[in-house]
Amino acid sequence: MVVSNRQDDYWRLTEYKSETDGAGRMKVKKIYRGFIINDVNAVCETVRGIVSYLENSIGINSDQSFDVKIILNELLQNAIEHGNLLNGKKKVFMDVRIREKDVLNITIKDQGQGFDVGKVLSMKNDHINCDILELPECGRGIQIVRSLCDDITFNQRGNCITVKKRLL
Amino acid sequence: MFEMKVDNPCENGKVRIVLSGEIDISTASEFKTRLYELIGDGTKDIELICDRLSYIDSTGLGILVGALKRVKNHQNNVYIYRLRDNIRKLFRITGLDKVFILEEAV
Repeated sequence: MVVSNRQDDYWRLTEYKSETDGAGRMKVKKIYRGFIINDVNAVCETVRGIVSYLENSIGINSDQSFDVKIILNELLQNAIEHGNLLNGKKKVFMDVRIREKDVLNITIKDQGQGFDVGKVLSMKNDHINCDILELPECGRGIQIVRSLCDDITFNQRGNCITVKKRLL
Repeated sequence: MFEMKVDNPCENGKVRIVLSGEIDISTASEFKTRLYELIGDGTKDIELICDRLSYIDSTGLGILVGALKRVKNHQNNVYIYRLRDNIRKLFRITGLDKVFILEEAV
């Protein structure tokens, strides 16, 4: 279980549990479902808990652990900074589960206005050949997530993202 | 956990910085402040020794880009040594492996 000693009522933690089919095979393993306060430390604490669980209970290796950590951090950071605009009163919803035995599903939704999904998905490394002094200092997070995940989808508004990553 | 140490005999006129631990959203601010202080007005080359750096995300990469721009203004450079494979992968994904000078041996 992802444990938090926070008293905030919006910390809603989910026990790790599995749903199995008739033959006892795992269909879905629920890892985390709840709201995270719009705060850097809350994000770090939550990500640490999830990665640690995946390492200890699922047995992911250090490369997978690194990838999952950066995916979660990038998505949550986008949500609290660009979605919720660092507003401490807002929250981020997150659902993490494993489907089909080894496919990690992460859904993250913020309370922002959303963004232009098409524009973000069409971003390329166009800046590589440009003058170094013109290089942007931000905007690489979603590029990293896209590269490390097997599938990525957004809702129409652009404030909810679901990614899938095969673990084993 | 993040540590940053200046390891610089200054024999080659460069500023050598040893990074270790994790540069994530909770440590990025400290990293940025200290790195930009060391860079100052950008009149020296910067060497970053990274074999003990275990994690960096897009925020940290952005800080490195900012550092590079500062020293490039004075025709200097940022040299990055001994990146771990996972982190080198992030440089490739973002195209920054073509922007920074990445070396194995110091």
